[in-house]
Amino acid sequence: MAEQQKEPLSATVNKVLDEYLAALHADEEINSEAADRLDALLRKGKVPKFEDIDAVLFPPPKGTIP
Amino acid sequence: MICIKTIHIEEFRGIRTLDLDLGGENYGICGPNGTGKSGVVDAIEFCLTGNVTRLSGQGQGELSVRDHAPHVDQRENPGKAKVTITATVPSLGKEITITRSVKNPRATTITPADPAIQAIVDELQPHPEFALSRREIAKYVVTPPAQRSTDVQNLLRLDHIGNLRKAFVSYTNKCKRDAEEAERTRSRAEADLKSALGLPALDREKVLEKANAQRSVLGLPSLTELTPKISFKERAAEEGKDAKKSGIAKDVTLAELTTLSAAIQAGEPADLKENRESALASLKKLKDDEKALSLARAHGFITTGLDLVVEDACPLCDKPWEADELRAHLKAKLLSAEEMGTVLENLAKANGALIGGIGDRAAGIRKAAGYAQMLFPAIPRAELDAYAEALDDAKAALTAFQDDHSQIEGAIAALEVEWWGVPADAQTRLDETRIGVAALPDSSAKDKAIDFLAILQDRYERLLATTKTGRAMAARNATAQKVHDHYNTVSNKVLEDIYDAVAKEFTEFYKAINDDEGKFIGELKAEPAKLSFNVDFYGRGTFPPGAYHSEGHQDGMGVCLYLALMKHTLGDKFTFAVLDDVLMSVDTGHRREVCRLLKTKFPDVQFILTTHDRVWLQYMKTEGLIQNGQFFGGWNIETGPRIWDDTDIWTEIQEALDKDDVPRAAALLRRYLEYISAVLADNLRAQVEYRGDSNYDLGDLLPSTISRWKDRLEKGIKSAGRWGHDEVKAALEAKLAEANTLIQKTNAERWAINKSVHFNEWENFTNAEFKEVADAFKALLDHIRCTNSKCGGYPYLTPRKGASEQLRCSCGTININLKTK
Repeated sequence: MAEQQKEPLSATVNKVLDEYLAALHADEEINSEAADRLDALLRKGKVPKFEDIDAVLFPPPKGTIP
Repeated sequence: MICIKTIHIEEFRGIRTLDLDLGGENYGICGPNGTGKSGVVDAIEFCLTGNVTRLSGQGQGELSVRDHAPHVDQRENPGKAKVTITATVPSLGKEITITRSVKNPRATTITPADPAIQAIVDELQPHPEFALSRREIAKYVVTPPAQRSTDVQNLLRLDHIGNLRKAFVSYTNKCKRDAEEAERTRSRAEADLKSALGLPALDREKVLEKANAQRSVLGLPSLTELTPKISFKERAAEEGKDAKKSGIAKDVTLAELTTLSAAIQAGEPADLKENRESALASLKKLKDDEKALSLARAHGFITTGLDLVVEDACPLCDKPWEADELRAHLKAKLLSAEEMGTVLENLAKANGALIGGIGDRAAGIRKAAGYAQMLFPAIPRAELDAYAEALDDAKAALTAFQDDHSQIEGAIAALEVEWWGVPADAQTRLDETRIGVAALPDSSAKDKAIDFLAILQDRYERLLATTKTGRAMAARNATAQKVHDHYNTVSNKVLEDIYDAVAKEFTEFYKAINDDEGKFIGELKAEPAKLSFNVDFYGRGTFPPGAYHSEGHQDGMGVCLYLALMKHTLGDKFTFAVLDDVLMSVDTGHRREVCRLLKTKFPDVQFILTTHDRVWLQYMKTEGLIQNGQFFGGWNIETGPRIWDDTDIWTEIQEALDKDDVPRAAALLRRYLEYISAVLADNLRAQVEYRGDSNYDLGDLLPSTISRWKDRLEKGIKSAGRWGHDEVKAALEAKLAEANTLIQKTNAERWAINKSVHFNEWENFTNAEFKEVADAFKALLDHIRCTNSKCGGYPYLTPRKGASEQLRCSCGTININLKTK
């Protein structure tokens, strides 16, 4: 159930996301660009669906038709 | 946030019309239960948020703001039900007026129209927790850790963190299931290839050996390396095939059908049977609990029912039932959150194994159906397809439950069917197929080789493809798990820091109101989806608040935790809070400390406090927590709350006497004197004969109190004389003389010996006789209270325990030294 987040992200939520991005970047097994895309998704303020997360972590190779 | 100056309420809840002037300061509202105090709280919440928690909260399904917020006589005219608040906005230094009507609860009229002010009002909307009612205290203290986590995160506006965590859990679970399914598919492909090769395990050399054996039959060159792009059947087709052949590789097919039949006849494998039975038992248990929880939500029955079981019968339907047995029955229906978590985890494992087993069986049956269709004449496959579809349905039902635990009925139905046993009609088709394949003429060696290589090619490629997919799914699952783990680690750490800060502040607050618990500590510990709250119990360890602490202490903890959370949530924006009958539940021995806590730790917060205890209201005044307050003396449906305060009581008594209604005037005076005697007895630490039920009447309190008043004046005279304060001594002597005269006029000291002047007889007095009594008491109370119109309070002794050192009022106009050395 993805709910629309009406309020702007609180300072605490932003702090969690900042530290989360740092943790993702520090993990060599996680693609850095995927981490940035995930961060951008989470900062939209919506609760992402399965497809949203999957799309930013595993985008289709360039040139493929979605 | 704002500070409220005035509240104007019209036709709202139990109120017809009411105006309160808070002046932006702390404010007390006192009155017996059912006099409309909470209506004021509801009105404030409604005006600022458009909602009334009391009407829309959990378990209030049939109630709504629109239908039930207006006064009952105006329920068809919601437009008449409205609330107007005037307030100051400290951060903007502006005054504002907010009006909201029940007719359109989502809209407010705000003046002046200013975007900055609108933003401030909008900010209040998601913060209904500025109002804390007594029943909500439990939300923070005695509540399951999982629920506390949700409630506290909502309060701290951290719900987005929790929602993201849920999204990651959901994503990870799905990735895990996909990876498991991909592995099962790969495993089936491997089994098929092994079956075709007749090998117990796959080995590169052996595979090539088997393939080359058949290729040599066809005179084809041997293959030397097993690569992904290898072609086992290269040039095999050139050798040609018998056109009449069915396309079935007899030996391979027969071996597979034989293996399938043998597995069916061997019965359900022990591990699958164990998983199925255990999953079925768990699901049934869960289903029962779901029913119980549903009942509890719908009727508040299970959760409160245990307390209601006081005799050998069901408290709801009176069905005879031995009490202990009924309690055990009710308890058995409730699974704790932790048990639930373990049950779900075990279920996931069992269901995973079953989904794999069912999938394997469906694949085997479909393969057999394919062979049946390929025979000549073909054997009907409908029965086999129907069985395979039933297996698919069972698998889908188990998967659906894993995705959504409310899909429990389908999962139970799927497990109640012993899917291992093949339906008779499908078994018949299976047998016919096996017989049909066995009856096929043996192929020539060349044809056998061609068939073998074709099947080998097909199954080898399928294994490669499924292996590739399986690896991709496993990699995705690993990444999903990692992003989830990182999120959990990071968010838990951030939350732990917050909870540590809140717990530290909670501890400080709680210690401030319980100075006898110097080593007290409170701990908030975050775990995924849980927030444990443990507190020290006299140095014996930390435990949940409900474990050993009294309810009064638990309520005190609830207030302290609420204040700590609000302070952390809103920071400088925490400028007002409504505590609805909350302080009432705090231990009586700690009420003054609570007043001081609110006053000293939250000097910039406007508290609006309601209580049904007059003594509490007086505490608030004597401690300087509130300057102003309102007493609600009664309520009726026609007029709403009856405003009554201690300055108006004499007017009200006079009005009754003007109507020659002595009994009413007598009742008013008696009720007021009972109230004020309790306040004075407490303030002066009067020596009242103790009653275990604390049910003191006027005769118990007033004589002792006025005796104590004289005694304290005498003590002051003694002290002034000892210190050589002659003017003070003379003034106090005059005060004592005045006290004696006024007390004598009230006859209170003669109640015990002269029944004709006892307060029980007042209603039989003549109008003039009673007027004399009322005037005497008014004069006596005016004599005791502070003469400063800005104070007007009754004096009290300090300190509260031990030898009295001072008799004073809040403003210091009354300040009598009682120390003699």
